[in-house]
Amino acid sequence: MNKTLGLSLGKAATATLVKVAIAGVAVMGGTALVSSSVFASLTATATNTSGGSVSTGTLSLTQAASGVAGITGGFTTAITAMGPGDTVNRYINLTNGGTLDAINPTLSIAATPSNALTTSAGAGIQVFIQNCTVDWTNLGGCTGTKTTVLAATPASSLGTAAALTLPSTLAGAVSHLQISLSLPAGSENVLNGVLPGGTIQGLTTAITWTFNETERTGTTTNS
Amino acid sequence: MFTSKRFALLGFFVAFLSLTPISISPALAAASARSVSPSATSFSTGTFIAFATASKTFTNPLAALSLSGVSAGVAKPFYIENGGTINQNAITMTISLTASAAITNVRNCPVGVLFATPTSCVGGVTLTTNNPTAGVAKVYTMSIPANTWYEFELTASKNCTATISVSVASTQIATFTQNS
Repeated sequence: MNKTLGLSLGKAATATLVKVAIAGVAVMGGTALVSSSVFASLTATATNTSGGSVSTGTLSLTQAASGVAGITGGFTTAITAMGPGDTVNRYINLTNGGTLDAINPTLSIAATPSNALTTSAGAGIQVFIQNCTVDWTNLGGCTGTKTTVLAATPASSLGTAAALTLPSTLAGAVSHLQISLSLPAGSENVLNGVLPGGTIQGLTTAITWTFNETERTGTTTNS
Repeated sequence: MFTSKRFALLGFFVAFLSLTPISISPALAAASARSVSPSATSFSTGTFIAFATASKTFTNPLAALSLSGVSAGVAKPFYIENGGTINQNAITMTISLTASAAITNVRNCPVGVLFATPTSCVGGVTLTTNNPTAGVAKVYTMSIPANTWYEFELTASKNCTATISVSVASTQIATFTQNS
């Protein structure tokens, strides 16, 4: 009897011990999870299966001498023996060869050495630019529509970029420019072979021409 | 001065600034394209220079010509030369004489042609006669290409010395418009 009772008490005690152990492990596990600050969450990802290509356009500006026979001098051929009242026309094709439209075309020059040709607003070089919608003829004629791109401007003020009025700066647009370089008639008088002080005669300078344009205003597309 | 509350507030503010993500607006940059001439354009000016000389030397005297030994009634030759690089359409010449002499006449042959006799040019080409007043500037309209000359003859009323002054103005040169 006592033995049976003893066995019965032993089973109950064992069950109680097991329950206590399970509860203890559970509490320890939960505590461990909380104390280690491990938080799990569910995530989902959606990925497109095709397309989604993003590409950028290009902005490109190039200049080249006219290809019309007789007026191919461009900017690279020297201009010599200019005198007051003389004009030399050079022909340049300016191409917006990129895929982006452009805005705000400008022209600036740099001259070396600096002398009265590019520092004197009254006696120095004047720059006048016109555009023809087609190639200029070799006699300076325009059989298309002629517009003023830059009104007569002293070279002395083109050290700072001047705005140009091009008919188009869209992608692919070609401007056929006639660039007139002239010297004002002036009032110099040479007496007995002696050049006057500050003369415009006998001078040389080298002019670098820089055209510039800016990308068209950014766009927002909903598509 | 600083209470613990103020320190706490300051600490909170510093912590806020430190932990708050910094957001900088991106610059609104636009692409630009530039095209520079492949080489510089050499631009030079010429000279328009004329002077009187006693011989065809093309040496610029940088002064008026003093022509001594002018005898009354005898043609005295001299030359007008374009010593510059620009063609001229006209010159202005002033002939002053000593001894109160007067100018009888001034003749010249065409460009590059010498006198054969005091009254004729080589080859029989036509000469030009002018009668300027001594000491008074006179414009001679004539084409004088660069590096060319005209022969003149001066005849005065008395033995004298002539001073011949020549000038060229920018309005007297040949201008051009060139498409190239």
